[in-house]
Amino acid sequence: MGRRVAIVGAGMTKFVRRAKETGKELAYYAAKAALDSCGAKLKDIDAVVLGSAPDTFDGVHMKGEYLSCGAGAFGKPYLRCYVGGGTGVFSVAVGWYYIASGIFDTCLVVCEEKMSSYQPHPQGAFLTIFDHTTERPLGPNLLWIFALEMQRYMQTYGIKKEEIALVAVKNKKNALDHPAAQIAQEITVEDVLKSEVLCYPVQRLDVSPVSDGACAIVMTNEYLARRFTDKPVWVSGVGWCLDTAYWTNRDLCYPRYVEEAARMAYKMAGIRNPRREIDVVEPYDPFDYKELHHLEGLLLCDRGEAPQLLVDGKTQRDGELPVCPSGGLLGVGNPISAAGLMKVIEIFWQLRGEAGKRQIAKKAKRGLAQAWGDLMQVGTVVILEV
Amino acid sequence: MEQKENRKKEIIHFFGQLPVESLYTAGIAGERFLLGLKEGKFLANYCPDCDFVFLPPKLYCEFCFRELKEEDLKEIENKGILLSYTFTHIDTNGNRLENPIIVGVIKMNGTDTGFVHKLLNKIEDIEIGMEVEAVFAPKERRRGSINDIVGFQRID
Amino acid sequence: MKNFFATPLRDEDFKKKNFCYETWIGNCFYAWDCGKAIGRYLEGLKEGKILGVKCPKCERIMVPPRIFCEWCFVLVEDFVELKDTGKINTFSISYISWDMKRLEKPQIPAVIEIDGASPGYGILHLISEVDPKDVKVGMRVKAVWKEEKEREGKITDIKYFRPY
Repeated sequence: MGRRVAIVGAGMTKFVRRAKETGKELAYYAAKAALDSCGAKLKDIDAVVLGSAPDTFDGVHMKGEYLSCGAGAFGKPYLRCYVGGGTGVFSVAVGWYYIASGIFDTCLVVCEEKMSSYQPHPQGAFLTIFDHTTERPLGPNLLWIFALEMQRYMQTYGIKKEEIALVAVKNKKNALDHPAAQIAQEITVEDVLKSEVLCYPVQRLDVSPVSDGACAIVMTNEYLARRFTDKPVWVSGVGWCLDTAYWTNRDLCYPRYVEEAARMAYKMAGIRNPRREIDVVEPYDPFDYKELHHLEGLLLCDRGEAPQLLVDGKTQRDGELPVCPSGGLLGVGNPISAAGLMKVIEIFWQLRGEAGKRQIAKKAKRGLAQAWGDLMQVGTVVILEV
Repeated sequence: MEQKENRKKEIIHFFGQLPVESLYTAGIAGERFLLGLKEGKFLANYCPDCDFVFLPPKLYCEFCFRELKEEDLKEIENKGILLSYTFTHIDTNGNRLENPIIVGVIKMNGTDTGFVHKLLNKIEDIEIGMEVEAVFAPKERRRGSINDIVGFQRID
Repeated sequence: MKNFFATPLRDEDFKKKNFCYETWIGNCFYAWDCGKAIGRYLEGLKEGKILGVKCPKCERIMVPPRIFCEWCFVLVEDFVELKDTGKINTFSISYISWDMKRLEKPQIPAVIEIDGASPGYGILHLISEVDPKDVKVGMRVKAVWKEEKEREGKITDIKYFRPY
């Protein structure tokens, strides 16, 4: 399976609704913080991976090239990768195969998003995910796909809105302890249920915000890891999978592509029983129901059973399986690709015992971060362990 | 399966539009530079590690990743050398322009980077290597934009 | 040990534009090629028919049509006329437009499983002529077409689906 790969450093910007910084400057802050966190210099880095969502957000074509110098890629092998919302976690998989293959010894992975550049509202940038001929003439907005998926999920398993709302309550509260968080707050289930209905069953407080921000990590091979840190975190499994773009032809109640991605990662990590072997998990939560949907796809509970874990309090930080201890996208914010990498960074900090007030109660040895994206289509998974 | 000859009128294209409107912040370093232009000043920044002067100034040195702070800014003189130029007779939609637009790359004295802007002289008066200076818009029209400079002209 | 930079622009600063910026409006007009399968699908709509395709190998009947079966990865050329009825697989009631403005009259987008296609094969369309409160998953619906002379080979040749 090639060389073992470690994450040795991590950094991120604050997530904000509108940043004064340019995209390059955000990428720089994150990349510099990641390097500084492990005493690395730019010259220690062999290659750079950039993750970023559609060019349309930043309003810059060849966004990868535009961001390159801020990501520390001057004069280095450099690649931008993109699988929609799954990008942040996928970029870690790309960094992993750079190093596992032995091509490079060290690698900087940077994810940046500046959604606020898009006017009048970043949602417009999503319009072209719908088929231009058979769907866009109907006048869709992005929330449609989420609302349709959420409805199908609720109907298939008889899940109530009250149960789903608990995710928003938990994550926004967890984010109160995250120094980079954009919309951390203490809310109740009632607040969620009373919030403005945007696209039934999706309400205002079910949704993560649009954000500007960047995240970065430093990855090395097993031989160099301890030169940068005493506490390397190992990437023991990566997985990714894409389903068909004909999204109206599949049952939206279950994300089978997430399952495929998880199975790939579990196999690589030698995990036979994920429910026993995964200590902490950061599933992708751009909408509250997605956290539940993804826990099921990750095989961490039976189909339709995720809400029960939540109701029983098992997914709190002091529970059996802490879920989104960071506060997730619902609380910390959702600068698409950077949000995915934020999840990997949270697992990194949790496993090193550096999550501060967010540190989970149990001793965690192995954690999983997952992202999702495109037309409800892609699952990306990374498993870390100490 | 229906036969091809039964097909009445083939539908080939579907026309549509992508609404794209962007608002770009100048950023931390960009704003320092543009506010300088508003004052009629060129502000560059210097990386002592790499001995390199950036114009426009940057938040970081892209070579060594050192953060360049406000105190690293320095004002440079409004004078430079034309490194290269081109002129265009058509606009972005391919329409013929009455007066060609001349664009040059200028190396301002004391900097290590090229700076792109319009040239205001007639084509026949332009040559590579000539000394040029920026012509600023009247102060009341400046708003902290690259267009606070109208263009560059030859110094004789 | 950790620094978290980024300078948030407050709403009032943003409204007053208390910062240096540039704006740009893209002139993005496209002529998207419909391609073989969707071109044929649109011709069908113009004739008041919903067309699907049948995979010669796994024999599933798919809509919207495509020239390949993504499972078997074989060429698909067999067009099949489907019914203009179906059932609601999932739906939403949308109160906002793409730029987050409030709609006066909500739209009801739905995935509609089309009769005659393989089970679970649906298309995205709108539901109307019904109180939003009464829409249910599993509800039977039928296409409401534009007048023949008004049809132009677009997905909007079906105005919407209504319960029947």
